[in-house]
Amino acid sequence: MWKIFAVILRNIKLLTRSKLSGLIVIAGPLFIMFLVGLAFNTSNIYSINIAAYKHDNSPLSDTFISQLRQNKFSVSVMDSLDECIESVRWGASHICIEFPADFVITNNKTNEINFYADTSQMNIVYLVLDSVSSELSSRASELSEGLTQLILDTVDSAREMITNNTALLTEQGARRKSALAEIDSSESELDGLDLELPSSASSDVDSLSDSIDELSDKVDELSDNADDAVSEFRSLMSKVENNAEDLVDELDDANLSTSDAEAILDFINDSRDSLNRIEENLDNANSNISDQFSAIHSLLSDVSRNIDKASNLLGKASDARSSVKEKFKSIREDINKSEAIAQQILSGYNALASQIDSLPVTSAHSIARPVTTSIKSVSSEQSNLVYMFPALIMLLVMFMPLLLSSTLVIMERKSMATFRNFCTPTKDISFMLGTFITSLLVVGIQLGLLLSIAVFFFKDVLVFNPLVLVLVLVVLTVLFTVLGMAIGYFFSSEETVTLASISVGSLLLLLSDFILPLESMPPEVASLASYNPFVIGTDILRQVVLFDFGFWRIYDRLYILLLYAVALFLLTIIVQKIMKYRFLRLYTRFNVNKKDKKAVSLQLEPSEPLKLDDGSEIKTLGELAEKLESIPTKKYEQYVSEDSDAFADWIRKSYGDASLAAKFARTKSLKKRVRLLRKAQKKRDKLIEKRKRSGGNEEKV
Amino acid sequence: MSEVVIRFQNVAKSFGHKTVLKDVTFEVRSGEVFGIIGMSGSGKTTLLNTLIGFLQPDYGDIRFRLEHLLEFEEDEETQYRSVFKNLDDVKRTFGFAAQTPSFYENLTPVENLEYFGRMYGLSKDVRKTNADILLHLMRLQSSKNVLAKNLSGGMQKRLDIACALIHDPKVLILDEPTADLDPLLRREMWELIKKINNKGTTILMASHFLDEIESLCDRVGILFDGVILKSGTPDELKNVYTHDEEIHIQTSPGRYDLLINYLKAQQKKLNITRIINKGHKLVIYTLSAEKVLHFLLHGIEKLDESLLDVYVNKPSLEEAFESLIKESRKKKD
Repeated sequence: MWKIFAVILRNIKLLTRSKLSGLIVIAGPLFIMFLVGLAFNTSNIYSINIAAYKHDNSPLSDTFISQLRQNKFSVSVMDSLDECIESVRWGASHICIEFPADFVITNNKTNEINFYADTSQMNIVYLVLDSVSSELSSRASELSEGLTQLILDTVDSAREMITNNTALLTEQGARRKSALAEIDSSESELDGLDLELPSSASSDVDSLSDSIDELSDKVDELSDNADDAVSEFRSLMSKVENNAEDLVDELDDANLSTSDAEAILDFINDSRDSLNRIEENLDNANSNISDQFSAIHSLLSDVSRNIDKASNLLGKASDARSSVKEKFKSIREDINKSEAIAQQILSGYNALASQIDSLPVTSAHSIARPVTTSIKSVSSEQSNLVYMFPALIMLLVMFMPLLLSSTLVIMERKSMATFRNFCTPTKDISFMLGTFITSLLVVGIQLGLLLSIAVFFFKDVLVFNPLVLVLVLVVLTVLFTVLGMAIGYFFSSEETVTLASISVGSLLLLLSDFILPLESMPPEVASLASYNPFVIGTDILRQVVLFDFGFWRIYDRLYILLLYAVALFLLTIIVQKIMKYRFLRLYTRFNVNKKDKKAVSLQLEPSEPLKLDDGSEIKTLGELAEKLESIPTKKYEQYVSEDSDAFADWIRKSYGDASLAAKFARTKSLKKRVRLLRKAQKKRDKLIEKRKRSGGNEEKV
Repeated sequence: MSEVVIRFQNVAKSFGHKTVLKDVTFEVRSGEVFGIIGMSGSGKTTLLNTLIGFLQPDYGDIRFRLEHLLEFEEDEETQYRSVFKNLDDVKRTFGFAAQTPSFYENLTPVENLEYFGRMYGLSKDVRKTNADILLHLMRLQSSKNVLAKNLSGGMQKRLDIACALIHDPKVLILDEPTADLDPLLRREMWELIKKINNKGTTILMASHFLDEIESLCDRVGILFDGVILKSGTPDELKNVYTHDEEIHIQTSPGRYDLLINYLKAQQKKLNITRIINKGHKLVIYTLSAEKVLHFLLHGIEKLDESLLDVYVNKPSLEEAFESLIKESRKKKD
C-alpha cells in the first residue's frame, strides 16, 4: 500500500517538477473550463444575422422585419432571392427569409414564408430557425389576435346592439302586449256585440232572401212576361196597327166582304185573345206579384224588425266599432312604434351586417394561421454525416498536426542525438523544416486516405473542386503544424507537450461552433472566437465541400490563415532560440538558479593590486573607477585595445570574477564602466561590512 | 614540433555567480593526443563545450587552425580563426563524442552514420566509404543493422565515436571516453583511440582516469580551480613533481613487515623515500630503483620469501596530479 503511495507521489513530483508542466497539468484544464464556462454561461442567442427578401413592398413584410429588428436580430434586406441565399452560404447570414408576393391576409389565401437555412450547421440552424420562427410566430399571433379582435369587436358591437335592441324589443313586447290587450279588449268588445239575429231572422232573412230571390225570379219572370207581353203587345199593336191600317184600307175599300169582316173579326178576336192572354198574364203576374209582395211585405216586416234589431246591434257595433277603432288607432300607434323599433332594429342589424361584411378575414383557417412557414436548405439535403464532414475533417486537420509536430519536436529535443545534431554544421532551420515537412507528409497521407474513402462513398454527394480543397487543407495543416511545433519547442517534457497540445486543441475546439454555436456565447467571446483558426477553417471547408465555393470566394480567409501560419512560424523560431539557450545551459549541468541559496564565493578584495606604468597601484574596484574617470584617453588606450583589456584581466585574475570581468570587457563606454565598477564595489563594501561582523575574506553571497 | 591546431587563451566561463573556468590557457598540437585531467566537476566538460561552440566563454578566446587556409594566408596569426565566429568550420573540423552517447537509438549503426554523414554535407560515396571504414574500425560490422538501443554499452560508445568521425574530422574531442565501461572495454577503447590517432587525427580528451591519460596522451593539462595548472607530457609532469620510482613487489608467503624492517635498515643509503604495504604487495618509492631492487632480492632470499612478481614504475601521474593540487591549494590558502 505504501509502495503504491510512493509511486503516486513520485508521479506527481515528476509531472510537476517543472513549474510549466505543473501549470499545464493542474491549471490547464481549469483554465479551459473557466473559458468554456465564460463562453457558455448563457442561454441566449446573440448576434443572429438575418437576410430578408421581399417580393414586393408589402407593409406586412415590413412589420415582420420591424419585429425582428426590435428583438435585436440584425436584418438585411436583399435585392434578390439568390443574393439572400448566397449570404447564408457565405455565412454572412444565418438564415434567409423569403416573404411571399402579395403578402396580405385575406380569406382563403395561404401566405407562406420560406426560411432558407444552412442545415449543415446542425448545432445552430435549428436554434436559429426556432428563434426566428418564434419571432415570426409571435408576429403571426399578433396578426391572428388582431383579426380575432376585429371579430370580437364586431361581436361586441352585435352584443351592444342586441342589448340596445333588447330594450327596444322589450318595449316592443310591451307594445305588443298592449296591442294584444287592446285586441283582446276589442275582441271581447266585439264578442260582446250581439250580432246574432233572431232565430227567425235568419230564416226570415233566408226566406226573405229566398222570397226576394223568388220575387226576383218572379220579377224577372214578370219582367220577362212583361217583356213578352210588351212585345206581344207591341206585335199585337203592330198587328193592330197593321190590321188597323189594313182595316182602314179595307174600309176604305169598303166593300167589305164577309171574309173581310171575318178577318176583321178574327183579328179582333186574336186581339182579344191576345189581350186576354195579356190580361191573364198580367193577372197572374199581378197575383203572383201580390202574393209575392205580401210575402215580401211580411218578410219585409220581419226584416224590418230584424233590421231594427240589427240596427240596434249595429248601433252597438258602431259603438264597438268606434271603440275598436280607437283601440285600433292605439294599436296602429303601437304598430307604428313597433315598426319604428323594427326599423331601428333592422338598421342595427344592417349596420352589424355591414360590420361583419367589412371584416377582412373571416376564414377560421386564415385567422388561426395567417402565416405559414417552410424550411428549405441552401445545400442539398444530405445525411448528418455529410453535414459534419467538414467539421470532422477540421478536427483531424487540427489535432493530427498539432500532436504529431509537437511530438516530433519534443522527441528531437529529448533525443540522445540532440547534442550530435548540434555538432553538425546544420542550421536549426533545417531541423525545423524537416520536422515541419515530416508532419505535413504524414498528415497529408492521412487526409489523402480519408478523402479517398469519403469521395468513394459519397461521390454523388460531395461535389467540390479538389484543387481548392487541397489548397485549403494544406494551409490548415501548415498552420496547425507550426502551432504544434511552437508547443513542442516551448515545453520541455513529452507529457507536458502532449497535454499542452491537447489543451490548445481543446480550447480551440470549445471556443468554436463545433459543440455549441458561437452565437450562444457572449459577444466579446464570440468576437474572439471568430478569429479562432478552427472556426475560420471549418467555415471554409464547409463552403468548399458543401457549397463548392471556388478559390476567389475564400482567398481572403485563406490569406488570414496564412498570416497566422507565418506569425506562428516566426514565434516558433523565437521560442526555439530561447529554449535552445535554456537547453544548452541545462545540458552543461550548470543550471544555476538566481535564487539558488547555495553559497557561492565572491572574492571581496583583490589577490594583488593593479600596477600601472606610472608606478601607482590600484587596490580596489572603487579606485579603478576613480582612475578611469581621470585617466587621459591616450593613457587609457595603452591599457585597453581591440585585443586586450588590462583592467578586465586584472579583475578576472585578482578577484576571480570572470563574470564581472566579461561584463566590464563588453562595456565599451567609459562612463558605463565606471558605473559598473562603483556598483560592484558597493556590493563588496556591504559584504565587507558584514564580514567585519562575522570574519573571513570570502563572503558567501 | 607540429603546429598548434587549438589555442585556448585566457578562457573564462561562469554560470551566474559560479565560476567554472577562470583563466584557461593551453595549446593542442597537430597529431597529438592531449588529455585534460581534472576531478569531477572541475570544468572539463565545460571546457570542451566551449571548444565546439556549445558554450560561449565569458572571456578569452579559443582559436583553431584551418588547414585549407594555409595556402592562402601567409601570416600565421590569421591562419587561426576564432571558434565563435566560424562555428560551421569548427563543426566540420572537429568531431565530438560526449560522455553520454549521442545517436538515434531507434536507428541502426549504418542508418546513424548515413544520417550524420548527410548532416555533415558529405556526398553519397564519401558517406558510404567513411561508414564502411568506421564500421570496420569500430568492429561494428556484424551489428551494423541492429538497432542502436540493442547494442551493448561498449558498442554504443564505439558507435558514438564513429558518428563523431563520420566526416573525417581533423580533431576528435572525447569527453570521458571510457566512463561507465568495464576494464576490458576500457582497454579496447584505448586501443581504438590509439588507432584513430595513428591515422593522423588530433585527439583532445578529457578524463578523470589518470591511468588512461597517462596511457594515451602525448601531453596532458591539469585542470584545477578553473585554470590549467600545468601542461606537458606525462613524463615531464612526473619528473617535475616527483623523482621517485616505484618498485612493486609481491612475495609469498608475503611477510612484508619483515621486508620493510629489512629495507628500513638501509633506508637512507638506498634513498628510499617511502614504503607502502598494500597487503598483497609492497610498493617502495626510491630514487635508486636498481640499488633497492638488488638489495631487496637479497633480502627476499634471506628471509625465505619466494618472489612472485616484481616491476618497476616511474612515478605515476596520479602522484604528480596530487602534488600539483596540493601545491595549488596551499597557494590559494
